[in-house]
Amino acid sequence: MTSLSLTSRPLRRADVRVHGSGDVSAVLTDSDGSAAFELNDTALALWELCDGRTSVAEMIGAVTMIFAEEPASLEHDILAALDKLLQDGLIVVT
Amino acid sequence: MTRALVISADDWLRTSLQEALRAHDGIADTVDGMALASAAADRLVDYDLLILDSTGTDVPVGSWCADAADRCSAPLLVLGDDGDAELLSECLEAGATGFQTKAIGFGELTAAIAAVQRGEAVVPRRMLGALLGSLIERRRRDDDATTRYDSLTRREREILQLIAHGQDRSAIADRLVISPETARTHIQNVLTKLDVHSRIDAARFAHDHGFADAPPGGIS
Repeated sequence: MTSLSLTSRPLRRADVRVHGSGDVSAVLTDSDGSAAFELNDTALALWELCDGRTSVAEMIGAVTMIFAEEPASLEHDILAALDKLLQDGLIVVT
Repeated sequence: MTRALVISADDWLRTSLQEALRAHDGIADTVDGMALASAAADRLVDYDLLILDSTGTDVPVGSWCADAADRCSAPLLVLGDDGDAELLSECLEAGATGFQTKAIGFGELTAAIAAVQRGEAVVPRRMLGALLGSLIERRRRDDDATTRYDSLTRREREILQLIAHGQDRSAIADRLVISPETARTHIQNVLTKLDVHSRIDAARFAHDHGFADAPPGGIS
């Protein structure tokens, strides 16, 4: 599996559907409903950003601007969240 | 005790927030609309918390946020319409602490107020993805503008500043002690490099991206 880097431009899988977001999380499923994934707000927002042209570095920059946390910590957390999306097959990196 | 300033054109919102803050050991002054808030700008430093309702006003909200952030260090919560990610990103970039839609319950609103008072960034969870996307787009536009500006020579940057301040070709020629023909050539080069079609577009570019008064130094 291709790994993520700051220059990666991940793309969300086109056949994955969001089934509404509740108070805590959203549920994403395959087109045939064979697999379901629960995402928190931040993971869902990152998944929405995965349009194939937005780089991981751009995502980190935007999140840092909002939450004003330690950039290194945010970078680690965002890479981990994206890696989980990649492992779950919700995004691809070409 | 928290001293808050609530700015809104909405009578009900002003009164409700005043009551809510009073119930939480605070006091709130209210201002009806942003025109009056601008008049009261010098008093912003007196407050520990600013709450700005961005709806129902013609005043540029982002500029107001930037001015408020320059004048005082109080956390600023902006209230706006649901789904307006562009306004949300503009406010946060300008220095607002948080943004909340008006389409929420009062409990959520008081929770948002408490959060910004703790210095936490408040963003409507449904708008987080759109906000991040909007911030990235704005950053890209700024980077693109900087790249185009960087392609100008020092003289062309001087020309751009003069255009931005409303100078026509002959005034530019007089100011820079060059011939009108040379000024025209410089102006055309500026338009070409900035990829804009008129001096009005060039002036707007300079003002929108902060180049109207920038030192023209740098590469030449």
